[in-house]
Amino acid sequence: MIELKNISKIWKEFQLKNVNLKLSEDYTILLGPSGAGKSIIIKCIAGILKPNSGRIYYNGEDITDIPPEKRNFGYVPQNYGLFPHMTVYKNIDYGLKLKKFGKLEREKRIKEISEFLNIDKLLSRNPTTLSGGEQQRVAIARALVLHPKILLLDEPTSALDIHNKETIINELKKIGELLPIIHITHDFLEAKMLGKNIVFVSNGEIVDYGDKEEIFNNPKNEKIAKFFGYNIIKYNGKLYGVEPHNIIVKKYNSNIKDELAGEITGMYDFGHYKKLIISLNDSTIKSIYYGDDLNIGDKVLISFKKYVVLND
Amino acid sequence: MFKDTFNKNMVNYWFMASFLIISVMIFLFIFIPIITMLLNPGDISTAIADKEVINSLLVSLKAAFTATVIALIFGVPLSYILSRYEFLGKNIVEAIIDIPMAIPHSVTGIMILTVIYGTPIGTVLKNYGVMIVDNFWGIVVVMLYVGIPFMINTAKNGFSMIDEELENVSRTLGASQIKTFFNISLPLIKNNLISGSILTFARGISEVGAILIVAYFPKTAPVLILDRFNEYGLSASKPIAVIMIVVSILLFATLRIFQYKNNRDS
Repeated sequence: MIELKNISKIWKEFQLKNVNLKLSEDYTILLGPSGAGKSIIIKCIAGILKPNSGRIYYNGEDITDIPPEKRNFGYVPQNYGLFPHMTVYKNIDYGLKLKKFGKLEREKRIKEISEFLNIDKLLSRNPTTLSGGEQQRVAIARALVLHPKILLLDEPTSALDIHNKETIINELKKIGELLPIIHITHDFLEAKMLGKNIVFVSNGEIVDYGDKEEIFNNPKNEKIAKFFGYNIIKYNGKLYGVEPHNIIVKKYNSNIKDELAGEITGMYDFGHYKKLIISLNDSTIKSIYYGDDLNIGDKVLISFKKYVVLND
Repeated sequence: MFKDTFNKNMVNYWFMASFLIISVMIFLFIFIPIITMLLNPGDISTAIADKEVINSLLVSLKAAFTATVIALIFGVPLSYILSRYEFLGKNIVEAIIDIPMAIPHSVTGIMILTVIYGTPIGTVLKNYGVMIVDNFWGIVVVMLYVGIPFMINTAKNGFSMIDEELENVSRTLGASQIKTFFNISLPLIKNNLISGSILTFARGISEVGAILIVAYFPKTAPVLILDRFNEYGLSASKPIAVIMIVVSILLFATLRIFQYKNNRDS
């Protein structure tokens, strides 16, 4: 669907270095830390930024020089970008008017999309009076009403509280069945919940790309593993990546010799489970524990249910 | 503890009292000359009946209005470029734009005359029949020169406050760059444009020094006031000055009310 060939771009303090990427129509997440260059990729696809070098293709057609107004790619920025001098209705109507749709068609489409996204009661309101979640839905409605070829979302949940975040994630899942979505986030849990494909971006480069299961279960290197929340553990000269729920914690027993010994240095009680901070020889790891018999200062033994050996 | 609270209150009291006294003093410094003039206007009726006075007021208002409209049309694109793009020498361009605010008025007049009489630009203008010395357009040119920095700076601040993502979204929704400018950017800085217009107009209408040098005729109200003062003294110039104050106050009050309404509606 979208293909980036040798894209380089310097924009503000960010830099994209010779990016090559071929995206399918599946829900795609651009994942990576802040400042990695994810926004530049999405802005280049939208046509807002023009790459310094390289070409962008949509279904085989070179669209590098096509201005954003002629691409019909929906774009929702991080802060939603609602026009503060227009009502919600006029915000959604803006693109339809520009594309010269008739009055009846415009009204029909606005009605449909506002019911679909549950914003039909907000149409006469001013965007500044809406909550973050409502603004987000209006911004998505404004993009979807034009029946775009793709929807580009820049950190759509970063400014929302946990409740609104879950609602939007559910809605995005629904929307993802209607059209291809490219979604930027720095939150790997969000990526896990939504993405079919994951593109891991770091320092302006594509570090890893592939199916979600493949990417999350086999982090390519220590840096990616850390970003995905893996514990990095050095043992017998090898570097292991272990997710917190794959660490088995037992009370220390001097008879068992082949397991790693450590000490609990922190404990967070979440009710039905506890998050433990365990100090090993030269590192600190996190694990999940369901029992009640451990305390800070206790010596423990740890083993792994599942792990990956990291390349470097 | 009681002593602490007392000391704290005393500090607050002295802070508030001293700031209040200083503020009242500076307010009165501005207010007393205005109110003194309004309470002792002199022979207003004769001044209103004086055709020369009315003409000079009309010249001032028309020229300041024309200069403001030109400043809006020509200042806004530059302010947009300055707020949106980085380029080599941008700081120098910004510093040059501020110069008209810093130089003495008479020097402005001399500079404009020098361009008219001493450069090819003046010759070309003359060849095309564009004359500005001692006519209405000379006054407009002077008012524009001294007032345009206010328009550019105010509009630039407005554009800088607009989130660029609004313009980006507008583009992706189907608006060209020019449509985005008129649909999104310009309406969002409406208040800045009103403020910029007020400042440009005010700066223009109050100009004397440069106008005396470039276009003594037709006389603007401030030039006439100066003339009457030099020829006949304070009592002859005072009524015109009072009319000028009243007209200015009415004009700015109207614009401010418009701006206030605009703010409230949005």
